[in-house]
Amino acid sequence: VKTVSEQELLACCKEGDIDAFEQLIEAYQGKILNYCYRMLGNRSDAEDAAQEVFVKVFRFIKSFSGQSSFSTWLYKVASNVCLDFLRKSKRPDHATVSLNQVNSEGEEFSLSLEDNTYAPYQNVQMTEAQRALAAALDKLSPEHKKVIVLRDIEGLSYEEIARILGTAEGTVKSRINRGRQTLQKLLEKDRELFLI
Amino acid sequence: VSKASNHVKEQLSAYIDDVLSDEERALVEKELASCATCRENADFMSGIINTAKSLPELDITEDFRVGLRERLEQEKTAKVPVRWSYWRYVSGFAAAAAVLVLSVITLNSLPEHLELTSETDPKQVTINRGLSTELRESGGIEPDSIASAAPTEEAHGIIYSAAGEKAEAAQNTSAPASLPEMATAPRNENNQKAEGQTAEKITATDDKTFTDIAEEPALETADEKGGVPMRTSLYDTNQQSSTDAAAADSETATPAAVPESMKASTGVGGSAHLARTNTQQAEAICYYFSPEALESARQLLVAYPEEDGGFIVPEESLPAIQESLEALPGYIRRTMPEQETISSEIKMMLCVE
Repeated sequence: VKTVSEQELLACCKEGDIDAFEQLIEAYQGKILNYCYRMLGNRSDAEDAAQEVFVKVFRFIKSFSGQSSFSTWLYKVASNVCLDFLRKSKRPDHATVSLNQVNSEGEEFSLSLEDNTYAPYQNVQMTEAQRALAAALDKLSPEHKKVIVLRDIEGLSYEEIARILGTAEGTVKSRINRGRQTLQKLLEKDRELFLI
Repeated sequence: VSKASNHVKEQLSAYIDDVLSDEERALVEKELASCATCRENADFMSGIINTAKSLPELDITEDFRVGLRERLEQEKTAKVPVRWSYWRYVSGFAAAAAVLVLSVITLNSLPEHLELTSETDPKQVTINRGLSTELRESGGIEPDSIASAAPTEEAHGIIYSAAGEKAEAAQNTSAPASLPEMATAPRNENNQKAEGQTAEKITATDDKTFTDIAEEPALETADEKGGVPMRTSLYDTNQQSSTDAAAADSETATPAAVPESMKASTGVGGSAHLARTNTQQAEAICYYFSPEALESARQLLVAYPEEDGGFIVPEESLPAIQESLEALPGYIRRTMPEQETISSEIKMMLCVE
């Protein structure tokens, strides 16, 4: 079987070739789906959002200039789509009780008190630590959640994350740091679960 | 809390990711070696990170693939231009003004010999062909690429506000942009006669377009005989003043208000003509009209991310940009005095690479 390059597939996709598009995204579907899963916390929304991402990318693929990598573009779209989902989320407002705080750098962050009304990652087998972390992740601000998911779950470099978010690497570094510190605060009572 | 503890705390995340300089890393390691609390904190953070990496993942299911395929098929066959969704939400007054100003602009750019035929989508004729001519004359873009490129539906929504701003940015800076002349082109009698026609055509031919507007008063049925419909009272009443306002605005515009980096230029030589704008600014413009418009526009903007939070429109999407002059927040502004207070940053939202 002849291997078709991403460039060739892209060219076909720009002609509206859905088969080529499916081939093109084959390697990315899992990554994008799981990115959405971490951002949104449940399979249903994640699948819906991931499909939305690919439909949007297909719609606008003619506009893809190739200046950034296809993967970076996918994550960018996914990032925006997930933020959209979070904004529109039907999740009840009282699912988390946020306490807005200002850190030493004057950045506002929120600490949320646990509320089990909304339980993410239902029906998924997880260890106690994983469950606690999933719940804590769900309470992060979208800005922090994005960088933590991209870095610690998707395993992207600071440089890639900076490209995806359109920010400086220094900002990414700072956000990852803040995000992790917030996670530590949220998980303080479960500290021993993470000390191996 | 010791000084060492605080320093380690701030550097810990970067230390774990190994993105510190040799010097910084050595310092953190030294502090870790002498601070048990710091070490425990480092273990805690590492434990969280490792747990994150171990979180269970979803597999792609057959249902997902089938569902995606269906949506892609729908997307491919979708005929409804995305662009009009924006206008469904625009308030009646703004929308009426948009139609009015749109007619002024597009008709100013029409070639005099232009004929509307029943087989041709009037919208495309009046707008695309007219603008193509402008572009050819301005030398900004290869004529063939304009003439042959069908408007790409996918790009409309996003470029919407961008194009309007683009025209304005170029106009204010006297930059050799491809689109600006429409706004300042001298009006002549033919143009005036045809103005009502253009607006009416659009209203009549795209039911998604100005559904809401059509419910506004003052749009009368065009008289198709001879291709020159009757003008409506709305246009008669407001047209001249809006044009005057546009002219006045044009004359008093301050080029210095345009950031150097945002000045429009053309993609001379056929190189990619990139329109770049900023999502937040586009949102601000849309929000100016209504929160619903913002939401609608944001939906469209979502798909265009590029570096620095902007988006890039390649040359092949230019026909869509031309069409999107129908949006023209900038021109609407000229017809509505209260909108002149809109900030200069928002005015200058367009940046062309």
